[in-house]
Amino acid sequence: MQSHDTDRHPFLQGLSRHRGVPPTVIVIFGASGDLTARKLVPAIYNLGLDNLLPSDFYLIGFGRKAIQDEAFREMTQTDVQKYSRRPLHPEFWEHLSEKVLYHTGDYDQVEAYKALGERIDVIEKNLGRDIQLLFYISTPPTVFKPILENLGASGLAARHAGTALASKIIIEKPFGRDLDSAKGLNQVLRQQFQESQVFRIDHYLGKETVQDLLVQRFSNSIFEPIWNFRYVDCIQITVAEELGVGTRGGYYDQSGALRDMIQNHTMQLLSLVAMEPPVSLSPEDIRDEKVKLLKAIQPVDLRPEGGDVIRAHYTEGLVSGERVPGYTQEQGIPADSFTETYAAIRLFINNWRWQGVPIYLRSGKRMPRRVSEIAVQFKQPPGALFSDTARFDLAPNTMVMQIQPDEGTTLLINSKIPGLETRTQPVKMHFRYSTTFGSNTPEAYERLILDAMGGDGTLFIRGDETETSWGIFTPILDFWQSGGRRGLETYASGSWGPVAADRLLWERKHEWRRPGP
Amino acid sequence: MDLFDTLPGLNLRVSEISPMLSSMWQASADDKRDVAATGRASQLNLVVHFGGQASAEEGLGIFNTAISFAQSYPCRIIVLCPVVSVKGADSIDAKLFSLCYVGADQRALCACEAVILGYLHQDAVHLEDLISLWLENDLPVYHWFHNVSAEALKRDVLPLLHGCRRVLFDSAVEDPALKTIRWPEPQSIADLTRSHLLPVRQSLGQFLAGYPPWQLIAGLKKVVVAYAPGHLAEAESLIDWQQKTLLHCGAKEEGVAAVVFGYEPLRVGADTSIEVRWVYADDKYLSWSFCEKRTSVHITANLGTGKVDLAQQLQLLSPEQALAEALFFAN
Ligand SMILES: NC(=O)c1ccc[n+]([C@@H]2O[C@H](COP(=O)([O-])OP(=O)(O)OC[C@H]3O[C@@H](n4cnc5c(N)ncnc54)[C@H](OP(=O)(O)O)[C@@H]3O)[C@@H](O)[C@H]2O)c1
Repeated sequence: MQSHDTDRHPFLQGLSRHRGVPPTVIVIFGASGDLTARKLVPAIYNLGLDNLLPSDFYLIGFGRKAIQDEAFREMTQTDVQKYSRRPLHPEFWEHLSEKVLYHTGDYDQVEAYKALGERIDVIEKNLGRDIQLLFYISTPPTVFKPILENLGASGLAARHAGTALASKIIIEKPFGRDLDSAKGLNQVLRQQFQESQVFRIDHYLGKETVQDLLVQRFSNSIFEPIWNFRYVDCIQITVAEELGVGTRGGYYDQSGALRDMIQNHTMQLLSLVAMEPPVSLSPEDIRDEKVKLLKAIQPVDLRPEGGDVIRAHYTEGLVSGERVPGYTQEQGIPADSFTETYAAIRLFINNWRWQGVPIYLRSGKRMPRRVSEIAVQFKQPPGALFSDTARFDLAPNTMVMQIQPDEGTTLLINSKIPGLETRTQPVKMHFRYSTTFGSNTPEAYERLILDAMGGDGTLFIRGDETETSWGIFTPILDFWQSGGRRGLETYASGSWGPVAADRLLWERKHEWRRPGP
Repeated sequence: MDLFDTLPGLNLRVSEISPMLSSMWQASADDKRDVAATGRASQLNLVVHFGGQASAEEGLGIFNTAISFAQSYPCRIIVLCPVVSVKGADSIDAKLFSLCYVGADQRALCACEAVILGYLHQDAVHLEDLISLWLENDLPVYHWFHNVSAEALKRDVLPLLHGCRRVLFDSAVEDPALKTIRWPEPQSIADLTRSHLLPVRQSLGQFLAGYPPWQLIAGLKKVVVAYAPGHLAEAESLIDWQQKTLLHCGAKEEGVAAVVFGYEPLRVGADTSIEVRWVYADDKYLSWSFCEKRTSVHITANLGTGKVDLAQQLQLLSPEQALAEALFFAN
């Protein structure tokens, strides 16, 4: 989103930021894993197809398994065939795959990194020019620390420091599992990298609708004047998944819905929908506003009765007509587990704009459908004219920004039903990305990898954001941990969550939305 | 063959419905545009609930009415059929019906889809969540019951009605026990028979409105609706309407609450379908008779200002018109 052009090379001025990415080697740690196969390799391939990769581009996979370059090329080719949004283009792939390599090594052995450095030296030498390194840590978090430390110890982190080609690093969530560990991770990162070199990824930020939030809010004069406590009745953010924990039960049981979804994705959505207008579109100005918003969130009331949080896990039920097991019957989940697969929270933002407006967040697994949306529900107008509810079916105006699966925005307004008599009903005005702009839009990871290569951190999470957000949620996690199963609700698989969660909204005469098609 | 089998549509698995709904109108397999979303104009939801007793023939009639209705009021239709056993791989059987409709003029071009589910009695509890997958959220939801027993309704369906805009049934076919049900939102209940009779109420209403209310009730002793076979529910509905309306005319205050309201079968061989007769203590009278076959009404009356003899054309609402009337304008 950067807009100033004058600091760029004269030959790049006038070109989109995204079309002037410097020569880059992307090193993926954990390249034999699931994320690399499903998202990273297809994203890199599609960037290449769109001519968005630099002319000197290399991809190096790093991992413990002994994999030869040729075998890794075959693996990545299969990934493209299976997961890319566009089919494999054989000639282009042949060209790109020549620069796909694999480096075997242990994450905790500095020699492996030094050897990697030597391979990169050779590449640089052959090129006859400097090349930037972009590290992508796509391993489980247990190895984040040794990787970061060895990038430092081997000198890879400091390559071309102080120049535009300084090494950069993308890390995947989780950014800690509570406030202390988030601070610990940030500390290790800061020992090796400047904050401007660190790109904490939340793929939600790469989605068009999420980026569009800023555009819709701040480029249209009709929304901003009503985007406050005077007109907004409540905001609901839903991140629902249809799937259960599947084969990742062991991992999930250590995490839960609050850590896995709410602390990151929903809070990112909330900060963008509720923050104040930034003074510019620069990454720092936008992220400053996000942090300010997070800091204004009031501590939540933890009392089991009448408090602001509900947790639950799913029991057996029907999802899309198929019978599915309950959480504690899933593979790898202990029978006495009290990890939540659903969490709902009511928040209040203590600033001028949002005083008294409840913000409802929920996320769960095994809900009826996969959907992520933000709904801003406005207050009803004074009812003098249309107060006869038998004749006038009126709904509160609601603006729904759907993030997945169909990105787009819907505005709910009241309208007259055709006929001689005046009868009303709510109707929808739809805008969908896929119908307006075609459905073959880039995937979130494409945009994010490209931005990181170009050094633009706008769509990434800054260190202080993660800490502020963990500061809100750590007391809840501690409280749940100390309470064991106390207060843990259940909900049938395929339902929209536990009945207890309705209470959070009923108190203010609100209801959870049923996100439909 | 049970009702689920009789209804038209393509059998598929429940999990295939949503993808199919979004891809079914694509021009070709390569066309990745979400055509359903472009052309989708659905602004309301209609959920049709069949009872275990609904015959295949009745069910098909109702289904066709819903589809005709959707051609004027684009809506998402969901049809719920209880079944005694499921035949597919899931716990719930599913079908998807779609129809492209081209009207007489270019503008009348529309497509509609219906999701049809066959469920076992014990899975009724899952329906509320399941159908939320296809209901257009935030838009009104209308429920239409056909031949659902009061017992099944209380057990399986009442939870689904929370927050719905309108609950429809047809008193001509329903279990009389439905009237005893404590509906969560009683103001949302509408009777299709009543809507179907709109032109009758209009004809009688327009005629009677020519007289001051006090004149209509002075000396009134008896109000009778006579009905041809198959029109009992209509007679009941008309009596109910006249009773309420006459009370508004001041019948109570005038001390004529003792007016007798009743209905009786028409004499054998009559070519009329419904007749309304008002009997007074003096020589006033009203006779209103409707012949459905000839779509004509004959009114003879003397309501205190001289004799009147009138003929009118009258056509009852078609099922889909009655449906629209009941949904949008009933109260
Ligand atoms: N998968 C997703 O959709 C997704 C989505 C969002 C975020 N993430 C995050 O992205 C990261 C990678 O996800 P992933 O699904 O690709 O992970 P993964 O498949 O479990 O692991 C990736 C690779 O890391 C190495 N690894 C696994 N366990 C290890 C261990 N205990 N110690 C050392 N190395 C180990 C393995 O490579 P070698 O054996 O070859 O070394 C493995 O192939 C994680 O932090 C995850 O939380 C994933």
